[in-house]
Amino acid sequence: MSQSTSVAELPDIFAILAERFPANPFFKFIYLWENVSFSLIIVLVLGVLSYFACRKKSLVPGRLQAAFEMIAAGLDDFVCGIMGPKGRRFTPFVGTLFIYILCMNLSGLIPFMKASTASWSTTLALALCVFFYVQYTAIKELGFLGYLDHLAGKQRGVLAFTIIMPLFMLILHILTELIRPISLSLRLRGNIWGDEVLIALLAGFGIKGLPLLFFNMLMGVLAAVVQAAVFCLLTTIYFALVLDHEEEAV
Amino acid sequence: MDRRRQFFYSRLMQKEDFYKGIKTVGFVSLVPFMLAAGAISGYFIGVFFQKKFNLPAYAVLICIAFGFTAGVMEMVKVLKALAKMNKK
Repeated sequence: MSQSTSVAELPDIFAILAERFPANPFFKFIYLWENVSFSLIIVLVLGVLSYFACRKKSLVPGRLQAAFEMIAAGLDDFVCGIMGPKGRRFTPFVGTLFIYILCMNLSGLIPFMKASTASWSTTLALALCVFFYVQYTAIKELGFLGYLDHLAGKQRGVLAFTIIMPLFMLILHILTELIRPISLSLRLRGNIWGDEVLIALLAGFGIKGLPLLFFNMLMGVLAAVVQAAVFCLLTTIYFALVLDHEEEAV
Repeated sequence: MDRRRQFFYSRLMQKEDFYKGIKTVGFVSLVPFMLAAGAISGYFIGVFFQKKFNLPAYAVLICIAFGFTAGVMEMVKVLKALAKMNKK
């Protein structure tokens, strides 16, 4: 849902429509759920583009198909570069996250649009998807008892017979797992929201603020790419930590 | 068109450096959030357990300490994974 904040925010199309037609319940509703609405717009645009890219697949690709193939190959390189060939099965998930987050981040730079990732509800939902998928993968790979053993720090020898050490490690690891979605979502939200507020403040300077505004827009594009890439990088690392059992000797 | 293609391939050659830069930037932006998230999660879990089981007030402090430790542990894990990736 839209959040009423006291900080500066540029008006988006739904806010303008809701203000222009206050009696219209549809505009009121869509303004109330503006973050979801903008997310759905991105989903729709990506869906249509994917449909046209995959409609006439050929060995000699057209421009759109070539662009999509290049993006897919780049994302596959990105994931497999971190996890090795066994990470290929996570490429669709991580790739989808990257493209979706990147488009949402960039939509904040388009006039009358809003970056849905500037809202914590959106980023938390994405981070929770990652959290649950990582837990599912861990249980699937290690088994439930194996996963508990993994959480308890894989204590062997004398330490395995003490209660305190495995319990201590179990609590710490459970907390570590719980921290992940919070830190992942807050980082993305914080960076994109900060960028949006800065753009709104610079827009308030009028003509004098234009050079700074353009510079910040360029930085915003860079930030959008970096933040989307970092979200996916961390997601891939979480998968790698679950699959790479020897890594856990912390 | 050829010049464009040359430019594109030269950019591709630089992608390793680009990835390394992104990893560093990402980690730097993650550290404060991770440390804060640990302590905050610990606080909320502590308050929940304190109310649920009627525990003394220092139980919340213990949970915050646990949360902070978990945050540091998580940071070390991510740092290790990044270092391993950079070695590759």
